[in-house]
Amino acid sequence: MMKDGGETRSIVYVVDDDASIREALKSLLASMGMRVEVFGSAAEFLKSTLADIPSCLVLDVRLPGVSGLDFQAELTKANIQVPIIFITGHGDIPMTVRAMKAGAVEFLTKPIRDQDLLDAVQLGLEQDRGRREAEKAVSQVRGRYESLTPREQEVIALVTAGLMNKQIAAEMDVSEITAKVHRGNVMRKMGAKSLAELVRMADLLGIRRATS
Amino acid sequence: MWEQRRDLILATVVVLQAVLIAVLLLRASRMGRTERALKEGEARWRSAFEASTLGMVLADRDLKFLATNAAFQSMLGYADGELRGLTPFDIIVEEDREASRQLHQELRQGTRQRCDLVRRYRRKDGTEIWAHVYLSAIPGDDLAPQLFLATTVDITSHKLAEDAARVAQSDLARIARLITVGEMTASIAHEINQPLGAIVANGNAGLRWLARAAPDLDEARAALKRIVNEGHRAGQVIASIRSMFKKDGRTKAPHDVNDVVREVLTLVRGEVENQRVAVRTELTDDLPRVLADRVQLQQVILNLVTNAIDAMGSLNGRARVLRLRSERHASDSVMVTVEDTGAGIDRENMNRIFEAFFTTKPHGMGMGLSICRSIVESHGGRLSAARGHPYGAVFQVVLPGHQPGAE
Repeated sequence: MMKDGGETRSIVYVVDDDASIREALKSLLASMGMRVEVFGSAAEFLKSTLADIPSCLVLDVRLPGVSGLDFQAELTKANIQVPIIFITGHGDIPMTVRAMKAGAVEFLTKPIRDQDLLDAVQLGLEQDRGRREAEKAVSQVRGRYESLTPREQEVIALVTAGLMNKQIAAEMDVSEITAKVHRGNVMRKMGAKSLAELVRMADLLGIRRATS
Repeated sequence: MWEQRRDLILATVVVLQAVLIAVLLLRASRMGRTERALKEGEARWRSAFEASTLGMVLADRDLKFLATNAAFQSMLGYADGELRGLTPFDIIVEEDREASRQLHQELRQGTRQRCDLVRRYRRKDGTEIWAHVYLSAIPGDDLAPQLFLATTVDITSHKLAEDAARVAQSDLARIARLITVGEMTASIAHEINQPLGAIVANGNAGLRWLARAAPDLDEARAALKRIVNEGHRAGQVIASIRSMFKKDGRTKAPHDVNDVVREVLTLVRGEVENQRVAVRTELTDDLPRVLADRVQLQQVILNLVTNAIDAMGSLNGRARVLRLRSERHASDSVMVTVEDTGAGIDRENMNRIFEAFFTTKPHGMGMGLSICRSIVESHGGRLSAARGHPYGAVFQVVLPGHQPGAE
């Protein structure tokens, strides 16, 4: 059994034009300990300010005005990255395929089994949490990289390309001692404990010079 | 005098004779030419008859073939001698005979002078051909009896192409109809599924609220209330679907069932001709009017008539006859009977044919008779079915007569 408030560091959005479905899903997700926000239309959802915490969206495929699938495409275009769980009264295969290809987490048929919904929501939140962490990690690394001096930025590219201190010195036309000092500063400022870790960071930032 | 005038007299006689001879000769030659012309004319007519690329038949009053041309003989694969004395009924395929007999009667009685019809003939080798026949009556008098002249065109290849097109078309129509029914079903399913979905979600929510370490009774109660509301909502959906099939009495007005029957026959005329069904109507005049929704009543009769035509669609070797009868029933009611000569209703299906979704048609929905019966019953009437004798099916609609002032 889920503890009260177990998932309050995340939020589930529900978009459904049918008020009774909306209320029922709100109550069901709340009883599972989720924080829930409901919307009657896609437009309403787009207008609201979304919290900057792991979230996922439970969406009715049959929305008036704009279909759930079109809405999914619209969100992607607007760069709103939120995992989507589709619900439908009449799950037909082509629609499911399209939704899954566009990155939907799950496609549930009404009446929904509550365990399926819970699993799907948790999977969606997990995905979003993972994405957010990865993004956070990238922006952290980028911040550190930007704190490097131009010389040090040059060094990180050469080190992660696999060059020895001597080669780096020659490339930069400095003494081997100076190259070594720069390298030490790079490791420290980037917070890398090993060369392998530094290489990973360089890959993340896309700054590793191609080894020739 | 003789001596003197001899030359002159002789000359005169000679001239007279010559003139006479000339006249006689001229007359003789004129007579010969007329006779020849007559003979030539007849031969020309005969060769026109013979050489025609259309099948030509001259038949007597009873349609016995007197003369047929080569085109007609080769169309049917018979020699001239074999055809003489036969009638069209010997070569028309069984199912088309009845409709042809009716036409023959009309031509014979003079109610019709000419007609054109499409019939299937059986060739000597047993194969069937489609023929377009233009038939005209040559009136008889004291000296000459009535004759019939028929010009026949073999339209088999044309007909086959047309049939293929029609099959494609009716498949299309059926698909279109299925989609419509499918869409209606989908929309009904959606309407029912919404409250069901809400009931299930609310039920689960209620259970979870109660299963918490500290059960949240308020939330559980709210969920239960929503379940009750959704149950009512589902009930309303059902009620509205039912009312779609059951209109109230406000649209009802007194109608003559004969008018409705005639309207339906107009609607199905094309189908009747296509399927070569002979229609027999026995409509009784001065029937009591019935209080009915005209469109619904039309739907019932149309449905029964269409079923009857469909039932005879695959018949071979038996006349296709659709009988429509209206009569007074039990003093103040009206009965309409729709009879066909089709395959009839299997004994074991007799009780099931009015059930919804029961069908014996390969592509049927099984809704027609079920809807018909509810319409008839909503008019205070009765719809029943029976097996025909010796074959076919009989459907009877009994509707109470309208009594003015009894409203």
